[in-house]
Amino acid sequence: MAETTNGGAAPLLPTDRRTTLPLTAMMAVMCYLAALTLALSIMLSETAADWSRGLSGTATVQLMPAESKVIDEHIQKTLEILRATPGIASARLVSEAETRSLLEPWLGTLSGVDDLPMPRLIAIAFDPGTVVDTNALGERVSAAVPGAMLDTHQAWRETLSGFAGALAWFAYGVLALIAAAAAGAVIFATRAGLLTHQEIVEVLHFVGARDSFIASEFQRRFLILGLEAGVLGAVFAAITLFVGEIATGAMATNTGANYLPALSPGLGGYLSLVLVPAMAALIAMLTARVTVLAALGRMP
Amino acid sequence: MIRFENVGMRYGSGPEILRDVTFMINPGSFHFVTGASGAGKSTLLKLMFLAERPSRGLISLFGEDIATTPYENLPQVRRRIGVVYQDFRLLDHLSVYENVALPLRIAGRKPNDYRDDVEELLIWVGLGDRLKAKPPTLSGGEKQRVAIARAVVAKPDLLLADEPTGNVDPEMGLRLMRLFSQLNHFGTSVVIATHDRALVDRFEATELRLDQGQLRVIAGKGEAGGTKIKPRKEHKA
Repeated sequence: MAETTNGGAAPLLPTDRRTTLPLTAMMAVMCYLAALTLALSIMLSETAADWSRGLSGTATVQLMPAESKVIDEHIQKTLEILRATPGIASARLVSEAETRSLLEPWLGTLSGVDDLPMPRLIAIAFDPGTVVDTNALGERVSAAVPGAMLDTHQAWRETLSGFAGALAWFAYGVLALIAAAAAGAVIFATRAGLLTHQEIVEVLHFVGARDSFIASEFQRRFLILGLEAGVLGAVFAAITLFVGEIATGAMATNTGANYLPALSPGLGGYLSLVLVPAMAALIAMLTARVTVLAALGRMP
Repeated sequence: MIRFENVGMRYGSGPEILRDVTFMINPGSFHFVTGASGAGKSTLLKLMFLAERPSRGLISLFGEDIATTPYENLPQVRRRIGVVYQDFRLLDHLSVYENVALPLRIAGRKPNDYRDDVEELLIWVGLGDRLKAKPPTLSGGEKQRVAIARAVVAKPDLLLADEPTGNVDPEMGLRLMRLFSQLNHFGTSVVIATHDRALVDRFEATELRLDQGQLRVIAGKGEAGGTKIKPRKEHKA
């Protein structure tokens, strides 16, 4: 009696997990590193942007230490100039205690610190949306009060912006290297697969299969492999980031180093990890396709 | 249908395996390619199913000069040719059914459209009870029949078979020849490469005899350039 078939289309290339497992594991490690790089770069860029935003609407006038009577005069004169300047929302004298607390992380709580001559600071907040000619303001303050300096935090902002930009380029470089390494691994694996399945490929070719049909068999396999590796890498990276977030938060609380930013990738950072499996699958699939098409192009 | 003109073939910088080969195969004809081992029979077949390109000369398949046929059109040409390889070349991880259905699947037909045809063909070649079997579990004769079924399932215009009776006993060889004969009567041109002199003598068909790379066409008893195969009277099949 004749057997019956269900007619389901079996994969034309044999599937053997044992042969693809090492590559999946290697790709997963690459995806893990890529995911961490991506999340860390986003995290540091956002932190730098936060700092820059915090500094952009403010400025500080620094008054050199002097005798008590003189310094009071300098403070009064400077505050008058500032409050008379359009575009300045507030000008506030920073207390000596506040100034000391700002230096505390660097100088500690030594007893002799109180005896050191401290500059006096006046914190300025600009009206949002208005433009103040800070160069002219700085000149006016310096002319009226000897030794007074207006600090718009421009140098800090430029440093932070440069730092963030350099980090971003560094991250792009690392990601490009990881992508290139992954593509290289897929090329070798695809070539090995072509050699292993050479007879199958030849049969398909001579039965009249188009190159794109044969390539689709390989690219489907590598798409799944890339997706699996990407998901594994992204999940482990998310776990690492989460543990890191909790650990650095606890460390900051225990050591009292609250001036350090929290190492949290935030929702955006965690969401960006979704890109990793998608990119891994795309890179693996396209690399396999191009490799197979190039090899088939050399067949008669 | 197939035309070879002054075809020469050498591998790399080695000596010419085929020299000035000229012949023609008409639609619905039956040919044997004969010659001693190493005479170039397999090479000639490879040229016919586009597994090799000639070093020189002209090969025309179905009216198209293969030297000028665009690469993207070659799969369409190959689909008109069924090949039975000497070593079968079955895909071991696929079932008998899936192996035979392969050309139809590649041609883009839906499984529901071809299931009956494939099952019917496998019953016809006596493998109706081995549809789900994998090739490694089949005997030589069964593999041979699967390979033949795969070669003919898409009703090719040309069937090429390389030593199709080489791996089977004489009785199975005759049964397979009967199969080729039936296909030929349905209109498929058949070309069989063999070094089995007795097999050739048993049938009236044009012989393409290769000797030291040169080919001689020995017409059968029918029309020149190929005949419908007909067993001789003393060997009724």
